[in-house]
Formats: sequence, structure tokens, C-alpha cells
Amino acid sequence: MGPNTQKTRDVVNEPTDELSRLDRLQQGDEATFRWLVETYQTRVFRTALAIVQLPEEAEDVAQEVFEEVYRTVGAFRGEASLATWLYRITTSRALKKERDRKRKKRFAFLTSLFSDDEPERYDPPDFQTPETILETDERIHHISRAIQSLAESQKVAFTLHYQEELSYQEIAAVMQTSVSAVESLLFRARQTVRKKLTSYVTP
Amino acid sequence: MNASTQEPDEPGRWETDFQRWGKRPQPELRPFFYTRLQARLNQSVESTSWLPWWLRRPAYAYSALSLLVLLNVGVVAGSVWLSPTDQPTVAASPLDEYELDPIVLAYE
Repeated sequence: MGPNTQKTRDVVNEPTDELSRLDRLQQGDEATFRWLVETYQTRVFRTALAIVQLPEEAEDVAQEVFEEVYRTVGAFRGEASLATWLYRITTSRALKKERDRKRKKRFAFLTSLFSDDEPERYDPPDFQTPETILETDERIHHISRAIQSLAESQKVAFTLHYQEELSYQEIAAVMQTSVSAVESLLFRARQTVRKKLTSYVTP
Repeated sequence: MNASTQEPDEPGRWETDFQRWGKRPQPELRPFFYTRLQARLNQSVESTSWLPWWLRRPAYAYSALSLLVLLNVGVVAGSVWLSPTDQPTVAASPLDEYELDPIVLAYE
């Protein structure tokens, strides 16, 4: 188990003082809220980015997530860990953002049929910078493309497992489903990515 | 199943690729994320502070709106069903309106 995995484990498996932190958050303690944001902001951003693809939109999702936490922490009863709760809000917000983008794209296509103007673009541009292209080989890039074609729940399960390194139990808690359902989602996601990748590599 | 997925070492290779995907380099969050979040929270508080507290919660706002619509529907329905449409409306004469005695008026 790598250091990154251990870090994720520590966060998801409730630190000893999580209850007191939750208590302070519910009392509106700003220092604790700042701690929460600074501890989880990168994970929230990266999870959102795996779903929405565009860094600006992923940051917008991250801001929405913490705004929702700020507003609703009073009603949070602590039945899940803070990390689980944050991942749950993040994936649901990111999926909503992605659905909105797809809907706008469809609408833009329809309006472009009746207009001479250049249609507005709703496809996310490739955010790969020269540095990341150098570091990322073509196969990984193809996997990213294949993941975008997965069903929503498969995409979430795949991202939480391989990127956030959550266990099946933790993913089940985030997605509010059973462990066997997570296993099934991941199995189908792997199969789909393999098939897609084979078609990319061997046209 | 595709031939490329049937080779003996393939599952391990795919798993390695998926794990490499998980650790791929990604863009970082722009600096001062918390400052921007604070500004956003302050802005949203200011934009809703003029509303009464019970309207800032969607459930209360929808309930208030539904109540308003129901009251309007009730008023309209009541005015339609309870109005005496079968009785002709007669305009009150000026004598009745001002409660004047016609006999007294005739001798004036």
C-alpha cells in the first residue's frame, strides 16, 4: 500500500476527532471549515475533473460542494464519514454539471440548425498541457477518452476506485449501494474500457 | 470477447494501466481557492438576506407559493359557485340609496 493510499484510508476511516470537528462545523466555526476545505479541496477537484473534464467547471463544482457543505452541515447527522459525504456531494454535483453541459450542447445543435451563426461550443477542450502530454503516454489518454463514454455510475465507481483509491466498501457508502453492486459496476466498466481501447488502438 | 483481452498476462496489464490512469498528472487548483469560496459564500448570503428566513428555504417558499395559488383558486371558485346568477340584479333607485321618503319629497 502506497503513501497515497494510506492517506486516503486515514481520511475515509474517520479520524479520532472527526466527531468533534463535525460538532465545531455545525456550530459555524470558521477555522474548522477552513481546515475542511484545505484538506479536501484537491480530492474534490480531482474527482469532479474526472467527470466534467474541464478544470474551470471542476473548480466550480468544488466551490458548489463546499457551499453546500457550509449550508447543510447543520442537518448532517454523521451517519457517514465527512469524506464519504463530500465524495457523495461531489459526484452528484459533477454528474449534474455534466448533464447540463450535454443538454446545452444538444440545444446548441438544434438552434444551429435554424441559425447562420457559428454554434457555441460545449465540448470540453483537451486540458492536456505540453508537460502533461510528455508525462502521459497515449494509452492513458485513450483510457481517459474511454472512461468518458462510460455510464454515469460506472464512471463514478471507476474514478473512486482507481483515482481516489477507495475500497469497494467505501465506494458503496459514497454511492449508497451494495458492495456487490459496486463490484458489478467496476466489472462492466473495465470491460467497456477494454473494448473501447481495443477499438482505438486497432481501428 | 476480444482476442486482446484473452492473453494470459492481459488482466494484470489492464489493471496496471488503470492504476497508471489513476495516478496520471492532472491540473492543479488555482491558488486562493478558499478566498474565492469565501467571496462566493458572502455574495450568496448578501443576495438572500433581504428575504424573510422562511422564504430562503425552498420547502417553505414552495409551500407559501402553493398556499397563495390555492387561496386564489378558492376565491375564484367561490365567486363562481356562490354568486346568485339566477336572480337578476336590479339597480337600486336613488330613493332607496339615500333612504329618502317619496311622500315627503312629493310635497316639497
